[in-house]
Amino acid sequence: MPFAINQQWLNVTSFDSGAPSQGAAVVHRFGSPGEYRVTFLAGEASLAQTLLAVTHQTPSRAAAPGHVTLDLTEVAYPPTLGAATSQREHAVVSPDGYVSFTNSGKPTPFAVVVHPMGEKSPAFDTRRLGPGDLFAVTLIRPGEYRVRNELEKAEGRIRVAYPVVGDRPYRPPEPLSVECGGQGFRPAQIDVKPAQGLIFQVQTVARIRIDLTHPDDGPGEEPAPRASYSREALAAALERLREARKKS
Amino acid sequence: MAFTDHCDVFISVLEAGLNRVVQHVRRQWPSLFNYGTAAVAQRSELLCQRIDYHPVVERRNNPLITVEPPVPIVGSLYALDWCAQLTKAVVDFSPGNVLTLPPELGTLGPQRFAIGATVCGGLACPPGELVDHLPFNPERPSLGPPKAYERTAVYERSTAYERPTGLRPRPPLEVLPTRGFRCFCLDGFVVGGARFTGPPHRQHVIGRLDGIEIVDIKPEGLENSIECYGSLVTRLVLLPQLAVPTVEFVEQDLMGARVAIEPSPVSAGIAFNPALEDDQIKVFLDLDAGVAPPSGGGGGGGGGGGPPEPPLAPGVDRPRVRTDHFDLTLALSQAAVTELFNALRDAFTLSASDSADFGPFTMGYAIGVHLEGGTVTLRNDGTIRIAELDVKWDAAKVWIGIDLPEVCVGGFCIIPTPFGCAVRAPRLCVFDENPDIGITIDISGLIASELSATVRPLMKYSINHPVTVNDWDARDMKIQNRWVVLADIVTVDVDLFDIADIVGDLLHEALDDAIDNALGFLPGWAKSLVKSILGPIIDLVVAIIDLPDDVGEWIADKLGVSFGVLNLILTAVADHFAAKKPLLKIEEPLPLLPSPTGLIDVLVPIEFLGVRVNADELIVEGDIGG
Repeated sequence: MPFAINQQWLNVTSFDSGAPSQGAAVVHRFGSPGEYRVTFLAGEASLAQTLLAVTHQTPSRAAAPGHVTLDLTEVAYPPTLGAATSQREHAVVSPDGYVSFTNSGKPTPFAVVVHPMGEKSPAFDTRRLGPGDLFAVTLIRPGEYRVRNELEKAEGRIRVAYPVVGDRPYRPPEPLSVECGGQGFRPAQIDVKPAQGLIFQVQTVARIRIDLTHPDDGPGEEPAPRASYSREALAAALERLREARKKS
Repeated sequence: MAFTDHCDVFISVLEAGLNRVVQHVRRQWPSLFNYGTAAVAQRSELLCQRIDYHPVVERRNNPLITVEPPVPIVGSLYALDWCAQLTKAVVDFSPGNVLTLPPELGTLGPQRFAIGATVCGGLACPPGELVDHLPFNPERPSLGPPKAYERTAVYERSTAYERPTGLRPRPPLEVLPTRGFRCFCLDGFVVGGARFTGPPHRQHVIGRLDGIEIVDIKPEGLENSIECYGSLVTRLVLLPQLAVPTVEFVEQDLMGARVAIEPSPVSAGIAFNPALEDDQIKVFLDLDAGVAPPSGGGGGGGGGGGPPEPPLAPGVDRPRVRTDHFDLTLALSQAAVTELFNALRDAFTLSASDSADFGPFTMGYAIGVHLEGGTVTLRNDGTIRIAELDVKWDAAKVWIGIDLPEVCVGGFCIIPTPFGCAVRAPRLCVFDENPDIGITIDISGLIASELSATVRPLMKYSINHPVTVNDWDARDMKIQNRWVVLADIVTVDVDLFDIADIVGDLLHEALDDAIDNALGFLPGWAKSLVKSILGPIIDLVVAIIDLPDDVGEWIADKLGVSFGVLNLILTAVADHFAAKKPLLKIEEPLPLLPSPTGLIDVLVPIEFLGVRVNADELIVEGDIGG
């Protein structure tokens, strides 16, 4: 089997709740039943559309699921182009349930806008999160990041520690929750382990951007030893010591 | 006293066995023992003695009689039929106890042989009334039409002895008809010795004529003349025919070993070589064995082209039926057996490779081995002990392919509920597929193996054709019966896999290198992240392949048990030295003399062959069938 690395995760150093991709996701709860048109936008151009039904029951009268993920990759690319499943069919979620928006494919900048069917004003826009929305992200690249709420001009710092190869396999700790309110981020100085999850709980209008400012490339190569010995040299030294003791 | 106290190889043939061989030659090549004219050849009942011949001689259209020209009646154009037959030939080795020699030859002295022969012959003398009617004009004989019982033949004279040129050529001879022969028999004896002759490496045992006597011939001048003729036949024909084909020989196909045998020099321990004593001819030889050079044809199929021999039938025991002395004895000294063993050992090589899927990991190997060292000891319990035979690993590479677990991050719970997780974050996986890493460890310098075995040589008789197929047809079809020497493996002590502890460190380093190489193109932080998630690689591998603390023992177990390398090597060694592949194959009946043009090979039945071992030597004994 090929030893192929999924390169995309290596180069992502910026995250945007307005265009959640590469391990980031925006979670929204619609609350009231209805039919919605979900549009993925690149700038003002529509990348893809799908339908979302917020209802208690599926067409087959089964209970609607409490969560659905709308992935741009799967919406924009039908199965013939590589997507696992097509979401051109109605996506269904319970009124109490959550819808998460993400893009597991290439990091195409996009926004998600959701309109109730027949209405022009959106019910949800990833470029403008509101109270109750969540923005989840996994930061892998070690270093210092700046985090900003572009709509409230709030700012904070995130430090991702450098991974250490230990005696046991490393498993990232539980995710860290960060409040994003009118007074900014709480905590404003966030320290996480590599690949530890961050969940921003939005309490105000927000568009959260995270950018790497100071990458941490680790300790680098080990310094050259100031002294070294070989088994032969040690044996010779011990022999010299024995000889010296005999003479003394 | 052992047969081989003063030599490597001892061979003896008892006179009784040799006389049986002579009988087989007489029956299978009757035309070399019976001579006569064409009329005799057509009417064998005219012969003085009925010819006893093997049925295959007739079936293969071999002649019973060598046809010679008739005896001319001097001064005429008439000739007579005649015949001469060697009807009896017996060999007697010192001390003389088979033949009663005539007084002229005295008693058989030490280191001498005697041959007693009876020659019968006769002339076809025509009836008197026929001679009375023969015309006297020698140029135009006219006998009239022959009677029904009579036969005539017309011969051209040999051009080699034709009359001088310029003379008028003679007309062809006319053979006078006859009703029968007037036969006589003469007994003759020769005595002599034997010696080696020929250049080094091409020496033959050949007889030496010391005396000849024709019994009851008078006058003395006639006896002397006949003895002179008999002496010439003995020296020029008989003794060279009886020469042992060649004592020095090179056997390229003794399991890849090259064996050269030469006469042992005469010494205080060997007074005569060959020795004619104890009713036997004894030959003392020295042996030199080595690895045969690679042959161009490859494989060394035992001489001759043609289709390969079909596999031998399993051998069966064939017990001895006689109780007297063995006709044949061959003994190999401890030194000769050691030399042969060393040559066989040096000729052994094995290379093999294999791979297998063990679920969470795959594993394979490639090995190449040869043998070194070891001792071989003949023992009084009839066994041969091979000890401390080192299996040397020219190549021993083990490779392991491991499925690494998927390395993923993310996927954490965003919205936990009392019933679990309502929403999870997307997962990011490092590898596109379940990744493999492959490592190769060269353990050729770290592996030591040793083999000891006790084997018992066995002689078996392999029957490869039904009795309805005669031995000559069987040889043509390469399905002749054979005596085979096998080695019954009594015990085997194997320590095939003693792998140095350092192999654990090697494995660790190889795994680290493999991971580093696989992740080599990643930036340092990513490599660190992947390696930290994978954890200490040796621990990971331990978990994946259930690796015990003793890595060497684990590899040995996998090679020895899972891959059966242990059995593979054992089988190869056993096959090489014995087991399925006989140590020695001897055709039965044994082709003794190559066939002259138009005649069948002389095949001598070997009624019994046995092999035994004592602390001094390995002995093969046999009987020649009647």
